[in-house]
Order: sequence, then structure tokens, then C-alpha cells
Amino acid sequence: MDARYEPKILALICTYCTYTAADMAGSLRLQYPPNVRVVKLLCTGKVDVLHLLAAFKAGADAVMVSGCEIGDCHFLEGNLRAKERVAHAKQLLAEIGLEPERLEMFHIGASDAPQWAKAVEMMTRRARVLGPSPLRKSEAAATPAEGVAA
Amino acid sequence: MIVAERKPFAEIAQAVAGYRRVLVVGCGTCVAVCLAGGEKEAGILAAQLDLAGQLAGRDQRFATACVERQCDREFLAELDAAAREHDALLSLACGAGVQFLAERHPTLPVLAGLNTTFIGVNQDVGVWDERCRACSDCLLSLTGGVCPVTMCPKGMVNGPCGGAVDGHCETDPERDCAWTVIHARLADSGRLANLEALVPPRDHSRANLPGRQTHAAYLRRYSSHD
Amino acid sequence: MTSFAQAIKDKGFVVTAELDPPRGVDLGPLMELAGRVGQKVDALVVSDNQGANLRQAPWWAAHRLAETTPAEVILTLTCRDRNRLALAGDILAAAASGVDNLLLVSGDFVSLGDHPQAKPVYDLDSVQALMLARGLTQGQDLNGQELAGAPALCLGAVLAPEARPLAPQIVKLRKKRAAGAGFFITRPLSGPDALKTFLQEAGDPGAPLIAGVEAKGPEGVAAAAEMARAIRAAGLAQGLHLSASGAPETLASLVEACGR
Repeated sequence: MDARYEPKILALICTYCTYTAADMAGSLRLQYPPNVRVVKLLCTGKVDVLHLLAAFKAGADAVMVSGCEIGDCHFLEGNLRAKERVAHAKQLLAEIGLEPERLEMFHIGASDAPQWAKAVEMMTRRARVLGPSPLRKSEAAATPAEGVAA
Repeated sequence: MIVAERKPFAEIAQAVAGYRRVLVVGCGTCVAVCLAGGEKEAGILAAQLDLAGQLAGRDQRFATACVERQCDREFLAELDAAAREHDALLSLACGAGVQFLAERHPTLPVLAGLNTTFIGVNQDVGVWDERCRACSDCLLSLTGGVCPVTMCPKGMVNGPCGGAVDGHCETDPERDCAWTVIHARLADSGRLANLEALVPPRDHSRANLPGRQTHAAYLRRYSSHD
Repeated sequence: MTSFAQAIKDKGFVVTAELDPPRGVDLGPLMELAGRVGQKVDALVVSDNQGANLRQAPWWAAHRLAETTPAEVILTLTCRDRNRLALAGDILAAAASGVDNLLLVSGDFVSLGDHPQAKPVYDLDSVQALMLARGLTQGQDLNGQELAGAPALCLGAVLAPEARPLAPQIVKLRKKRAAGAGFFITRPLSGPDALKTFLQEAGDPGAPLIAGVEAKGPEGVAAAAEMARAIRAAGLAQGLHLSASGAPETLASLVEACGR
């Protein structure tokens, strides 16, 4: 029996911008893949490198961190810190042999619902191509999706 | 302060590969300040090693602990109980701390997670510069507060070599010639006369062997009694 | 054989040429080049791991030259590759083998050469090396202990007239002189003006100054020879030091053009 691999994506998103956009995407009934689990934070500046590593330990196939656009952070610099931490965490993932592309930083403004939908689509597609995280707790016949273009 | 940097991950992973239960021990003083081996770094490294172990299919568990510093026995004592429950300790202290920890647990493998680099200063966020080579014969008073032993690759103490180009060192066009700086510093403070006397050959006898330094007030305590 | 200092005194103006030992065991080419140029110069200077690049140690070539060439032989010793024991020992061995003219230099840093991983020594700097050598001539080692016999040495040092800033270099010059330098050889000059400017700032070096002239490749010989003529004509120096970055044919041509 062939079960299609469904990526599990964790999204750490900020209240003021990305969450608002995601909420509006819902109101607008925009269609996008359901693979994302959202964790709402006040600000992406709260995200620590340790959280990102913990997400992969918990079995996430991909992790998105999404905050305000540069210059618009409600807490001034939180999104800049998040951006640097995500970049550093990508290096740490590469060191241990996990694809750094599984982690990505986004900047999505409050009114940018379509951007949110696009970002989730892009990340889900990427996660399908990369395949399930080797750290995933084993699932019955989890296999990479067939015939999906990058 | 002592500056150190984390060893390449692959080298650390290799060193711990054979052990099932590893305690990653951070140090809260110098290496925490230079973001190499403090509590945060110990946590991140343990998480990485844990994930890497899983990827390699190894049965390994990594715990973390952190003490104020690893160069004082009173702090190492706090780790005694936890150490007994592990089959290796990965110390993120400088070389001195790693050794002190190893001396305290001679039958337990103690591994080093950092490369100790130099005595230095915090130049900027995330940037540290070497300033001292612990030569045991400080001549900073003579040279206007610029150390020629450290800041000159050749350790020249009687003035510059002939390689200075526009005040920069022959080893690197971005590096100031230490003697250019010394000369300017002394000139600006009217102390060029400091440079007249020939500085005789340095005494390296103290700086080369593992040293012991006893404070004058304690000499009597440690001297033999007749 | 009279020492180099005597040669300068006798002749008033001297010409020296720089030879590099080989990157191997065969001294043949160096001896052959020395044979070609030895009659036309007053001294041959043997370099020491020039540019921090590995070469056969210069004491052997210096000894062989001292046995065969009519010119004086000057042995270069750097502080980069030897501590004070080795430096003193090498100087004593040189003197014992008939080489008593020394050029004591700090030496280019290891990172510039073909063994950047080497541990740089620099136990002494060039000033301290001169102090050590002078002590040897007085029959004493650096710690004031008596030697069995004292070598007679002629000591020289290098100047860098075009290093900038100049003021610290002049401080160094005075120290080298005070430490016992009996002659100075300059790094290759870009022209007579460079030397003129230097001497205006530094004043009288207090010891004979030999101006360095380098030919870069065979096409550089004519320009180098012209520079040498100009320096000599201007009366700025008491000699010329001819070099060709280790290219034997170029050196031979340059000596042909500028030598005796």
C-alpha cells in the first residue's frame, strides 16, 4: 500500500504582520496546501536557534519563520534578529548533514495574504522534493511524492 | 580575556561518536563572552549532536550542564554527580578548563569542543582581537601601550623591520605595522625618548614551560617547613 | 683575506652581488655564477632562505666561496629561522670556516614564503643579533660567559630607505649602528631620489652605505645599470649591491654592466 508523503511544516509567525496576513488569507478563502502548523508569536525576534533545532528534532520536514517586512517590525528589530538566527541555524543544519533549505525566513506584511499563500505553497513543494526529514519519527510507508516538479 | 572558538562540527562529532551518554559542559566565563562555549552554545551543540546522532542511527544521548568556570575546583565539584552518570564529558572550556576537568575525572574521557585561540579584547559585536601573548615580560609601559610581541608578527622589540609599506605590515596590507603605531603613540605623547635605549634579548625561560605562579602572600604556606 | 670593512676602506667604493643557494644539493650553478662574476665585484653576499623560501643553508656555499673566489664573502643570517644558540653557533662555525663578514637581518616573515606553516623563531631581532655578534668578537656569549677564542667579524645590517613611515626606520638605523653595524646594505631602490630623500631625513648613517639595485628580468638590466650609474655619480653611497631575484643570467649581465 503506497501512502503519499505529506510534509509536516512548522511555521513560526509574528502576530502583527504574517499572522494577520494568514488570517486574511482565510477570510479571502485563498486556497493553499494544508501542510502548515502555525505557531503564533508576538514577534519573530523571540525565535531562538534552539527552537529551530528542536522543531527538526520533533520531526518537522520543514520550518518557516515569517515576520514583518524589513523596516516594519512592530518591535523595531525583531525580524532582523530572526533573519540572522535563521541564517545561522541553516549553517548549523548543514553541519549535521540536514538540508539547510528545509528552513527558511520570510517577510510578509499584514495585508499580504496572497504572499502568505504563495510562501506556504513554495515551502510545501520544496518539502516534497526534499522528501521526508530523515529525523521524522517513522511512519507507515512514507515515500516521496511522485512526479512533482521542483 | 581568553578567546576560543568551537571546533569544526565534524571533528567534535567524530570525537564523541563512540560514547552513548555524553555530558556537554559549558563554561560561563571567557568562552561564554566570546560566544563559543557558554550555556547557550552548549545547548545548541548538544541539540546538533543529538540530531546528527539520530541521522547516523547512533544510540546516543546528550545532556548539558554549565558551570561558572571550569578553572576553579569549587565549580567543577558541582558536576561530580552528573559526571558519574555519563560515559564521556565534552568540555566547552578553554584548554585550561578542559584539563582541570580531566584531572578531576581521570578515568572518564574528557573531550575538547573548542580551540583556544588567544588572549584578546572585544573589538565589536562578534569580533575579538588578539592583544597579548603572555610573554611574562611586559614592555607596554615602554611602547606606549602597544605590544610589539603580539601585534608584530616578528615580535620585534627594537623597532620596525624594513617591510613596512605605508605603515602596514609586510604580512598583510590591511594590518598596521605595530611599530608605526608605537612610534606615533609615543610621538603624540612626547615619549619618543623611550625608543633610544637598545632593548636587550628577551628572557624566554619563564614563558616556555608550564608555569606556576604563587602569590607572595602564600609563599610561606606552601614552602617546606624544617 | 682582508675583511669587507677593509675592502671598503681600501677601495672607497665597492660593488657587491647577491647569490641565492639552490633549492637542493647541487652547488654547481652557484659556484659557476660566482666564477663568472667574482672577478668583477668586491664581495659576494649569500642570501638565507630569501623571502622565507626554503634553500640550502647558506653557510656551506659561503665556505666554498671563501675558498675559491677572490671577492669577499658576506654571509646573511636571519633571526627568523634560528634562536640565539643557533645564531651564535652558526656565526662561530662561519668564522671557523673562513667566513667573517655577516649580514644580520630579521628576515621576511614565514607567511611570505613556501612554508607558511613553519614556526617563526625571532628569538632575537636584528639589533639584538648585532649585539650578540659583537659580544662574540669580544670573546663572550650573550650571557657574558667566556668563549674559547674570539672571532674577528665584520658586521652589517639592512636598511629600508623606502619603508614608510620613515621616522621609525631612522630610529632602527641608529639602534643598529649603536649595536655594532659596520656597514649597511639597502633593500633594492626605486631610484637615486629615494636614497636622497632617505639621507636627507636620516642624516649620516655613521657607517658605509651600499645601495641596493635590482634588475627585474633581462629587460630590466639596462634600467638598473642606469640607476646604479646615477647613484654612484650623485655620491650618495659608498657602494652598490646588485641583485636579480635569483636569475643567474640577469645577475651576470647586471654585474657586467656595473661591476669593476
